[in-house]
Amino acid sequence: MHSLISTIYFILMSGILFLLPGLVILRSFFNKQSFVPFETLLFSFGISLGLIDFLMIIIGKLGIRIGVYSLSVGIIAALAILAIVAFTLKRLKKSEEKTEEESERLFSFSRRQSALFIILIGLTLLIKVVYLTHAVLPTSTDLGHHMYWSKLIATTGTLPVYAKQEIITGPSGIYQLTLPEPIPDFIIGEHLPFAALHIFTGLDFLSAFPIIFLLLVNVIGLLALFTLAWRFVSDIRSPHLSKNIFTPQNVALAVLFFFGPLYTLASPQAKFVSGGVVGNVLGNLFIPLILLIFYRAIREKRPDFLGLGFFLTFIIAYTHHLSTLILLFVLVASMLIYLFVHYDAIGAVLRSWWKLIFSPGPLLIAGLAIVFFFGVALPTYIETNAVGTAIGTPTKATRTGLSFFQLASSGGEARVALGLAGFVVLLCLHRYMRYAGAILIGWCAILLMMTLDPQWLFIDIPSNRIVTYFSFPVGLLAAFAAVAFFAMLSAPQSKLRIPSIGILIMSLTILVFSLGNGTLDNNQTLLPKSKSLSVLQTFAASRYLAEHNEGKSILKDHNYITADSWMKLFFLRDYAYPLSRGLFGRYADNPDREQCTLLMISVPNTARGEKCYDDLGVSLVAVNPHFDTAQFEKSERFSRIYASDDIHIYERKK
Amino acid sequence: MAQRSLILIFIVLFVASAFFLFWKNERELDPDQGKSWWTLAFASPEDPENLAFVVENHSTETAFQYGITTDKTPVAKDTFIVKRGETMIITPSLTAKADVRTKITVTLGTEKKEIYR
Repeated sequence: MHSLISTIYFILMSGILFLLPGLVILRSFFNKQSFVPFETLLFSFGISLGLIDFLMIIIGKLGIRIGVYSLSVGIIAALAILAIVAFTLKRLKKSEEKTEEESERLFSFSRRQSALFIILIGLTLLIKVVYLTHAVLPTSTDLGHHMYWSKLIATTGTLPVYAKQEIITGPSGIYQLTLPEPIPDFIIGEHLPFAALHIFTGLDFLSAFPIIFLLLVNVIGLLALFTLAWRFVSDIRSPHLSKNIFTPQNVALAVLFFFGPLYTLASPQAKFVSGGVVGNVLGNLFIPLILLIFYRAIREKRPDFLGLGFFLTFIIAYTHHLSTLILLFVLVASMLIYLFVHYDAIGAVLRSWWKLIFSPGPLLIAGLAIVFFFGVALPTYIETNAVGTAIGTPTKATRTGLSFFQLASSGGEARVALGLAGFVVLLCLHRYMRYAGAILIGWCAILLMMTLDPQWLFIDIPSNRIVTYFSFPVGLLAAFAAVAFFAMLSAPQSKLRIPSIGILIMSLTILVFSLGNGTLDNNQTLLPKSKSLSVLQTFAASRYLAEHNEGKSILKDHNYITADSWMKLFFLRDYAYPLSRGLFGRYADNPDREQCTLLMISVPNTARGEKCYDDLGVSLVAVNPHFDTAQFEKSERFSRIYASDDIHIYERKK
Repeated sequence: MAQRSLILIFIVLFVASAFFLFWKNERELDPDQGKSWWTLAFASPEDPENLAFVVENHSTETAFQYGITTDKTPVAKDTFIVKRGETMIITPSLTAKADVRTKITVTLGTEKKEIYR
């Protein structure tokens, strides 16, 4: 019964917060015919996320408590103002648009295609849900870190200061905690949607709702790729491809196949959802959305679409830095490719872009964005000058690029093989002359370069993070290649005549290759068993510590305690409270890193271990007894005050 | 089929998925649902002399025994019942001494847990 109520709250408030405001804005500023229903759903979701984020930032900056009332009044006031602006603008201009019937015709499904869509989307959700059955528990380290900030926002009703205490060695050799130091890794847009959902539903952060919200973002991102492919196909049709086979519907369904049932668990899909890689999951929704609206703006010469594109780009800048950087590279690469292949008409192309950009709508949005950026709130990565750390010649081995084998393995061998075939098909058919082709080639080429040879672009970012973005263009290209292959064989102009049995064998070969590789990828990602018993013990110990710590400093172990990053949600004192013994490799890789958190658990009875305890005033230690008991048990200085199968808590005597 | 119908089907499938995940998570986080575990802790860790301890029971067994030793010498023992899903504070009529280890050992079936000061 409780699950049913949670589901109703979650669905209802997700709809009200993350669909309704966007829908009102879309309907106010654009004619209904401007977007097909899938686009309406996608853009409503994207706009709503941004609107809620920016409203919460403004409310917080005004010194008003972020809560149900302030946010409700904010949403209603913002929508009323925007509706009045839209109404005034609409009275001033009349736009020519396609009729609804034309849009419907272009984007309608046959009965068989509809059935396939339902099967594919059903299978996608089924596989993801089966995987998340074990992974839905609040165990992921990253999600624990993110939910700390979201809970802090929801509990205090204020915007967080992204900072944490660090352990340093003072001038006289005394270990001490610093005042909270800024953290550039977190961005406000990653935390506000969860805080808003909690504020309106009251759902516990330790429940399934954060993962289910990420799942929602993930599957809407999948629909964004589906819709993007649909739009792109109408631009890259060729007389060499059968019109009956190379249709937007078929290619979009192929995209759904390559991103849906296949490779649906590995990064950056369900694994990022369960892992709580919030920024990437949101970024992976916004990148195709932004490319879609920019593509339509430039192709249909619609300044209002460009304005929407600017707004969505502004949202991603407050949501995820790496996705913003990738998006900017993709946009620049696509524009350069388009200009390069139209070098004979470069003046005319630039003039048309200039006219589009310097229209009232895009300029107004850009102006408001700049005012907000400099006048209201800078993203943390700009505020802390963190951008400089991502730009430059990479030096660490993890940042100097991956081999092609690693890239293929990460993107899925079958998908990469077909994707590269699609890349060649686009080049052979000269589709790079069109906007859609230029974007696809630019998207794929720049990510290939960023992954294989980042030094060419002065990118200093872990290559295994960049490669997760490669699956998107390569998946789209794989879908194009798969459908184009059969469309080419069936084209009236085709000189190659293959008997039906041959086409059937080839179809089966591609299907088996893709299915085999894609499902193998899924199998490797499935979790073996639930961690619920360990999680419950961690939470029980955390509650005990929260009730009995009396302001004392606590240390816990990250290596062997399940869901340890969620412990800080029970205290909400500081991002680095309790202190944590990090992964062992981090101490070995970085000798300059503070060693106290390692020594206080690993060797608490040595002179250095005791000095760390004395200097830092740590008196409570939570460890996993299967790995860290003997060193505390044999010491007269520690009392064991709490015991469960997977957690022991020790108190250091004064 | 119209896109609106497909979107509606997508929403229905997502709602079903969300319900299942909420239900599954609720079961997983239910301390008594298909699990057997219990914890032992000092009830007032801030008071170094206080030997009162708390047992939180999520196992199917309920009959606990405890023994207290001071410097390995048994000084007290008793039994008590804690029902599944309940927490109980046991307050022995002893206090801990500062210079010797006082250990409380609680046994449930074959499982044993110890805390000490």
